[in-house]
Amino acid sequence: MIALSLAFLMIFRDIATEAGIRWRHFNGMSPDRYLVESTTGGVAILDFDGDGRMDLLFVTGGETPRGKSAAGPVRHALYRNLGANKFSDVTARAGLGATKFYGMGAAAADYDNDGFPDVYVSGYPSGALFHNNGDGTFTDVTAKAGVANAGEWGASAAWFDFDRDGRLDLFVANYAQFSFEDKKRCEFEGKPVYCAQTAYPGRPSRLYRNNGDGTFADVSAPSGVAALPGRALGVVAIDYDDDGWQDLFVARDASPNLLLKNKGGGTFTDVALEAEIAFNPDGIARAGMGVDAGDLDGDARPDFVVTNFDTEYHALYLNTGRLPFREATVASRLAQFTRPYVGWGVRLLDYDNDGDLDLLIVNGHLHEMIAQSNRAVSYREPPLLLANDGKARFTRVDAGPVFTDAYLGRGMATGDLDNDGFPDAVFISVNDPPVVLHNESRGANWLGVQLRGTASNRDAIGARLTLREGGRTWTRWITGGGSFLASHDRRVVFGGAGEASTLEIRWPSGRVQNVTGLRAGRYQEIVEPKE
Amino acid sequence: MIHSALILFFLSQGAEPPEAMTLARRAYDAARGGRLEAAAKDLQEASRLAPKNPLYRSALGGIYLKQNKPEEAIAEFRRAVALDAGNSALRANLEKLSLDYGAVLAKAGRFRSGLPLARETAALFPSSAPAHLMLGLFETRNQQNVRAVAAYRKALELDAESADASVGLGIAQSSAGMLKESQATFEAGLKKFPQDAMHRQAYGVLLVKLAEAGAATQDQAVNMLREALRMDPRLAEAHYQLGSLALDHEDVDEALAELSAALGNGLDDSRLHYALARALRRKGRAQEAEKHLQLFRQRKEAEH
Repeated sequence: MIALSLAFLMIFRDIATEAGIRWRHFNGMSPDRYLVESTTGGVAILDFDGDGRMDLLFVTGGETPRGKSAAGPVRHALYRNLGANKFSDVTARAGLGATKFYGMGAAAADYDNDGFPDVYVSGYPSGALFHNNGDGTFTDVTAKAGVANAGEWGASAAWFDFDRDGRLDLFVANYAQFSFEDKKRCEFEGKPVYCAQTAYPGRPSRLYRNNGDGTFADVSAPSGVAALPGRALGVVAIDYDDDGWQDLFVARDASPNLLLKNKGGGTFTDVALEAEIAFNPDGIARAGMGVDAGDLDGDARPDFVVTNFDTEYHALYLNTGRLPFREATVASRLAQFTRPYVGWGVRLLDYDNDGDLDLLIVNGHLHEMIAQSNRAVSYREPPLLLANDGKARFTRVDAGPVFTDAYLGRGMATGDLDNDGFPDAVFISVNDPPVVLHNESRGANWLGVQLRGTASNRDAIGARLTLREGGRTWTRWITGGGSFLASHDRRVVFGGAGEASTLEIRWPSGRVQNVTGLRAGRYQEIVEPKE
Repeated sequence: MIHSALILFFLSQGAEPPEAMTLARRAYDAARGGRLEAAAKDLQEASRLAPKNPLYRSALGGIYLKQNKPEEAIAEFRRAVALDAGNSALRANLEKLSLDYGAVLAKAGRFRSGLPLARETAALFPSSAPAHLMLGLFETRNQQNVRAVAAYRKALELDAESADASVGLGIAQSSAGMLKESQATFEAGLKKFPQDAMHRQAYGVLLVKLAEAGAATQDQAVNMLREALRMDPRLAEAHYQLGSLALDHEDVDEALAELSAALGNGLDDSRLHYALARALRRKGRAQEAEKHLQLFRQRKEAEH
């Protein structure tokens, strides 16, 4: 009876085992405590085979000089969604299992507009681009494409069309100067611990422009990106000022965050200081890890949430339509709920389809002995589901056993794995099996769309969608990047929307399309009109 | 210091190797003549020849002190104390020197390099409240928060009248995540030190943090900080905190007044200049805002 009651109340349930997922993350942790071990673990939700069901790609870390795997070769894994919450490991056939570098995260998108999502895997000391051949296999095209990001410790990556040419470009958030040969030794109570990130000088991130012929040009210098070194970990692409050009919010670790305003003409300028998102109110650069964007207070402008270190609070920046943003970390109660946590993956998602974007955040510390320094903080930490009242004020939700258990959360992706209109989520816990959170919610109305660009990039990254029904308005964006080391289902669900809705789409190309006659309770594809 | 040590030595009737005594006499003359390098060299050799004589060590420590080599001086005095643990003058000398040098390191922000000194000083002088106070400070600044709590507790146990120990304990408990204990410490401190404005200021800062985390109200924090300022209007940190809170509420005039008061009372760190820049920008005073942003960057660089 009690179990039945609990099941009834459960919002998210971990179905990884019953789904058939056997893969486990590996970070090569050893007494050397290489910092790279503490930040790895990526995940992508993508429909790699175009069958309408979202598949899963997991990115592992790797071995380190003294951190070897006892359980066979370290590998990434691709799981095909068979339906009915069952997945099959198709890594070997896909050719995505191994990379020649230490893995971090993944960013999936259809960079060549051929209808199949391709995959960029970030890592140290390089990354790799895998072209989706459309037959269940991938080809490593890194060398030809010129996106190796050689010598760098790449973290999150974002696909977006910065020059509005209809082709997706690639931004790779680079972290710090690092080498397995350069051992930095730090101790706590005589035991090895990870040295502070400030011991590792930050590096500039990279921007690659898609040439449209399978190659990319490194435009980091002419775009202005190369002039902004710092320890970048998270990135989300969105048009924050509604001028039609995709901007970038880059979350950085003890380096000032960046808000890269796209000036058009291929250049960016950092307006983070004016926006007051570079530092906390005391002028301190927080340890930014993950970042996501969306409208949290119902004013049709994109706001930003950044995950940070314990006692720093995960931060909320509300977009007021002009600079500066208004930091609402305390007023939203994010400070209250996130004080003890080191946050990583973060997504704005409407878990209950009530029409408001809520927050899903995964946490996990770096230091095994942190409790000896701060009794309110622990090494393994629970994820957080925070319900939004529609005005960016949050309440913590007891969403099931996963949310009282503790993990070393890192990358986290969201998507609708069973096409029931309620968002599911997947996250990596360091050296653990992944957690696949099935959303058990039911009942609320929803309306789903999948956009297909023609003049715009096929994935429609950069589109703004405004749904109106009665007196209610939903504003959503298809973003590039978002969260930490992750890639997401890009279909858009409008929670609580019915069939009387009208949808306005501003495509990345600038075209505006109005759509009526949408059906509730299902996904429908909308193709960008030719004119 | 060197003179008294050497005079003591000459009065002693110890059976030292004569070469050591000769070297010590020569060192004495060299020191009097201002030839400190030569004096140090002779005393090093004398100490090698007569390793059990604490006075050569303390004399060498004195020379190092004159040469502005505090770390070497402390090391020599420690060796001397180890050889003559019952010598209270020597111990007092070492304790004072260690505390003074700890204060220098703290002022220079050299908290990591000062931690071993603080730990060794507290270990050598277990009944010294100032030594444990210093240890608490260095542990706190090295994020060894739970250890800092123990150090401040010991300091307060040794000197129940130390308001500094009480404030330090409250801050350390808060940093260690022991928020309830921290509040209790501050509440007890308010009663024990009713005229201590610093207590109120530090408690006010804690209440600001607690209010952010929903464990106190912002009104409580503001009231405590204002109470501190009623006792001592020169408390710059209290002004800064009030200015910062006002800025959060977009009460820009109030923020500017408080932040300017903080500046006027000696606060000159990156936080303050950043807050002033934000406030001035909101008032449209772009040039002044830019000036404070420059100062913010300069202070940030220096603090790094």
